[in-house]
Amino acid sequence: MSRGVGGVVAAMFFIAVALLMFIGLELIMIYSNNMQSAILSREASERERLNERLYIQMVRLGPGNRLNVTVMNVGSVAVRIVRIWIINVTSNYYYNFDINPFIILNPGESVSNVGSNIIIQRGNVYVLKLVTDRGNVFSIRFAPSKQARLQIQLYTSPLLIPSGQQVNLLLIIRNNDTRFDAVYDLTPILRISGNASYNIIMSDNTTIPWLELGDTVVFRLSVLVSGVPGSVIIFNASYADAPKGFYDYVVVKVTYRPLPNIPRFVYITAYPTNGTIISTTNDEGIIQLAINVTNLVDQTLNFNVTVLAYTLTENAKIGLTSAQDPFVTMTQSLSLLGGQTKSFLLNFTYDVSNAKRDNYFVFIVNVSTAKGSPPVLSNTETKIVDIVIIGKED
Amino acid sequence: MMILVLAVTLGVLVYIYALSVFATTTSSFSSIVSGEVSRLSESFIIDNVWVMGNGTVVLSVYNYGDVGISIVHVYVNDTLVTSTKPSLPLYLSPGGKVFIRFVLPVHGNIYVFEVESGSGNSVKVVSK
Repeated sequence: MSRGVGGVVAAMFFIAVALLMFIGLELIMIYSNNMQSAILSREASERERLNERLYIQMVRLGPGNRLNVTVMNVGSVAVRIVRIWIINVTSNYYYNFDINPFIILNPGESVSNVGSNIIIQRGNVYVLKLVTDRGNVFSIRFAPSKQARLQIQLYTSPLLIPSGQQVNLLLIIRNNDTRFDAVYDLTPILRISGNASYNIIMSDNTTIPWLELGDTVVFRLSVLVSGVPGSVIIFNASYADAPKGFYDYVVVKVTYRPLPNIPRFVYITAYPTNGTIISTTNDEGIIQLAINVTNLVDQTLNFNVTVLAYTLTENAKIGLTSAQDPFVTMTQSLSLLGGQTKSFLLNFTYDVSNAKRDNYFVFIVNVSTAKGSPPVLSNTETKIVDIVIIGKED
Repeated sequence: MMILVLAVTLGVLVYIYALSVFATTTSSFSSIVSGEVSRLSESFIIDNVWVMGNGTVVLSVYNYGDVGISIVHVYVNDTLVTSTKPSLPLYLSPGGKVFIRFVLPVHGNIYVFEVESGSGNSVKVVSK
């Protein structure tokens, strides 16, 4: 009898212990699952957070100095912008605006006119921050051009001219001031002085609203210069309210008077055979320039054809051979009968593997008479060709 | 019979003791796990720091997570500071933003601002 009772009690104990172990195991499984799902969810949100990328393309000041921010989602996940900070660094003042409803940007989408309810003052340094609902903050620091130290290069072709000749100027302003991510309100200024007279034929000195760090802007000017031989004209280029010492200048000298009945002795056409806008995914390639030179005079002339090739993109390279530089000069001699046209092709290699987007190249083709031609016909003619290579992204 | 009763009593006592140990262990394990889960779910940032000329600092804290957080401490260069407005600890609901004001306890060129939540998470920013 007692043995039977003992067996029952032992069985009950066994069941109780087994139940306890089972409950314990089940609880551990539940906690472990909770922990695992929390880790996985955190991991997923961190991954999405890391894949979030916004590119602040431009900050414009619209009518009434209202902010107009253009933003592009360059990441792989949709982004919700929840807040804007605009920090006036000059006066150490902060404004923040919650965006309601949120701005939602899918990958590749862009939106303009963000922050149009914010009014800011021109002439100050600002930091703009965009906060996303995944906790990322994308910011940009921008300054008025008058506070930035920009690189200025002024190129002129030709430097020696007969009276009544057109001079082509190329003003290149590059933003290499690493204190700011971009500058705004950039207005080029060209001061012309000297004892020769001039007449501006063509000018594109409009204000540039936005220039990012590493980017370059090109302004062009054509000036008709007249004067006695020996007179000079000085072109001094800068930008509005630039800091002291930030300018470049060139001196153009009037050499002699051309024959009035032969204002032009040569006709040039120059164009890239692969188009002025080259869309490519390759980092390296060839730009082929076709140049036609026609002798407009009824006698044989010897010419020097000079091609200056500039790359206006940081870290981009251009060259005639394997040795590549930011710019390259090439000269070729031609002898043309009166009325004859000669065509030739020049191959320039480019390398944009370390460059930013919008790789911009300029070719200046300059033809002048060489030794052996009647000196009175030593005239020059210039042609500028722009080429933009697109398709290469950061 | 006497031995059987004694054995059963002893067994019951051991079982009760084991149950209490089990309950304590699972309860502390549960609180550790739930604490860790809550810590993992917390997501907040300092999205801006404003150092004013008079030494007052305003930290903007944004809770971008799905759970509320409790901000308990603010440090500057590892020195605990007292918030002048609002007082801490402070509950910040999901999506909530708050400005925490305090006076700089130290003066230097570089400040490391740290905000700590009740579950031990902290975020830092460096202001120069």
